[in-house]
Amino acid sequence: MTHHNRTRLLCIPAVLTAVLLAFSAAPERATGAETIYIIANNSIAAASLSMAEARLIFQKEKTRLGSSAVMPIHARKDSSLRADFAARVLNMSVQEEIGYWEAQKVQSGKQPPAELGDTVKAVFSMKSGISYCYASQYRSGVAKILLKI
Amino acid sequence: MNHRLRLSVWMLGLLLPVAAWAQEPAAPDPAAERMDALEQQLAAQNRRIEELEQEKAAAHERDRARTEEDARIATELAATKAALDDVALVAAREPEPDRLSIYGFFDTTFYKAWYRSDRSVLITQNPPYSTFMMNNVNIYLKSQMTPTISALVEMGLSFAPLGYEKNLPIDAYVDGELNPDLVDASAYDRVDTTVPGGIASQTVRYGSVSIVRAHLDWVPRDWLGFRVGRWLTPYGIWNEEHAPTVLMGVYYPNLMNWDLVPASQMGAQIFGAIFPADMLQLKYAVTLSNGRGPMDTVMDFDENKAVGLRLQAIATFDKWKLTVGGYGYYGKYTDGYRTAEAYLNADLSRDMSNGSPIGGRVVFDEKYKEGIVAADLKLDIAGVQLFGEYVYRRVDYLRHPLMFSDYEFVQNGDFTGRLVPSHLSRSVYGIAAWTLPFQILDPVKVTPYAGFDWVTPIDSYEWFEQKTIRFGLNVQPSPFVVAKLEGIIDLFDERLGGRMNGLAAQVAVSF
Repeated sequence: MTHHNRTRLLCIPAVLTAVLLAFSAAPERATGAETIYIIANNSIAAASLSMAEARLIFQKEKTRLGSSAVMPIHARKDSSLRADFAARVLNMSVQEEIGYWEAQKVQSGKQPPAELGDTVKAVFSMKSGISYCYASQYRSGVAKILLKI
Repeated sequence: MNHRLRLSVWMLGLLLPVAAWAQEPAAPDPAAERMDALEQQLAAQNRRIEELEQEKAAAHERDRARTEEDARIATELAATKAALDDVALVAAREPEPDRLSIYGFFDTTFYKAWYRSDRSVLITQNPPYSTFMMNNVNIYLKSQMTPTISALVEMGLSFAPLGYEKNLPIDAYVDGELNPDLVDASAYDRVDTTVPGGIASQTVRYGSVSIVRAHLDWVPRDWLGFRVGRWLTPYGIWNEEHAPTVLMGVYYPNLMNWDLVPASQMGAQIFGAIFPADMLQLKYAVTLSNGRGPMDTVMDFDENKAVGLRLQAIATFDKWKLTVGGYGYYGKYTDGYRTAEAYLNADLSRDMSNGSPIGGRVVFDEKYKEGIVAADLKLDIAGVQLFGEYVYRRVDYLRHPLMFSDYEFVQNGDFTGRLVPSHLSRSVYGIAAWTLPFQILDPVKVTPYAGFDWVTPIDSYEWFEQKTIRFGLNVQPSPFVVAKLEGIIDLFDERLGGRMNGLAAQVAVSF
């Protein structure tokens, strides 16, 4: 093989990489600018929560927060709130999260959290409820804020 | 005078046409006509404006009515959504005792293998011709009775035992000629489940239902849960993620195909998870079961119970996740049969010396102790997955079974009925996969992958190993559907047929 041919062969991966990079872009995640509050029913003892804990709770890996049992409640799949929450806390898109729960269902039988339109009302009504809302949707006193993201 | 006369004549000349006009009949006045026409046009336009005004008013009225209707529908929709929310809220807050979820998955696979020779022994273990097949139809029933108590049943629907070849006879050739004296006398035996249907009904091929798992879970705390029933052995990656919609490739790795670790066990389990740091999760499971046996789901053939310990660490950071796990297992396999006995004296009268002339006994024909260590590792970094499993299994026979005659012939060149020796089994596989981050594909996930798999089921036979190279493409147009195309290169010892190439395509669906 001549030096010229070797050079040409070496160029192939470089060209392929360039083509791939040209088409590649990390999938844009819906990340609105508005602050999201992770809120919990006032009966839950915990006063705060970390991002990692929020992820574990909404993936049903962790079912208690301090001494209180918690039940995660999602916003509806088609809402921008759900997309923003999934991107910021779960680090995935809603579509990817659906895939995650499909895997969980067949692996361990775990079901995804319940979905409700009015998450603030849900947290207010449900003793162990934990959910999230945009800052503009929050009503003071209805639920406690555990984390702002 | 002349001047005055000329002036008079000139003025008369000027006035004559006026006098003539005054004497002629009145001619139409174009200006007046035009004026009339304009007035008529104006009147018509005014009428048109009035008509348009009326139409506009009517349209405005219709718009108002439509807006009111839209508002009424929106209000009703909001009220319906709120009512649905309330219903869902109540359902979520107070789970009904009979709350039940039903879901599952199935797949359809096409497979074509190429053998080194038309007479390769590998065609006795793999489809000799291209074929479609359905390997999994699994149905799940899940009930969350309370927030801490749940039950899960997974059933596998199968066409089995249709086509199960209970016996493949061995024909012996001497110098290329079939030697009837050396022919295995046993006949080819295959299960046929085809039976006539009822009267005026079609022929039926019955299948079977296997209980993949059925267990009750009580999880009072994250760090403490109890499970009883039949459960999947908590080892590795793919045993629990066993659905084709979740698995990267078409086929299970060799360590699962060879059952180096029991896929499921009947017994009890204590499990849980702790969270020592935000990014770290530690899981454990202690297992106690009948262990492996010829009918361990029904009855244990010995007093020994198998024990196991699963430990797993999961570290999660922003863009990556590392999972490291291990499982240790120790148990005893016992096979045998029960027999009833009658005790008689020499004169054939009943022997009552033991209090009863009849008794029973368990006769053992195969028994071994097995210790297993399994390890697994999985790394996810921004769409790139690297994962693998390793299994080490030690089998110490207390009562050896007979070798399979074909293995014996390969090993020793005869069929004299040797026993299977105690042995080690080892297997390892690794797979690298990359979910392409191309926005142009969104929401379709396209994941090329490649991997290597090695197994030696019985280390005493130096020819008995399998190396597999697999590479393929996993395309997921939605989280519920996966299409896969996989190339497989299996490398066996020349005595087992050498190389076998395969191409598999699969569509798997979860519902």
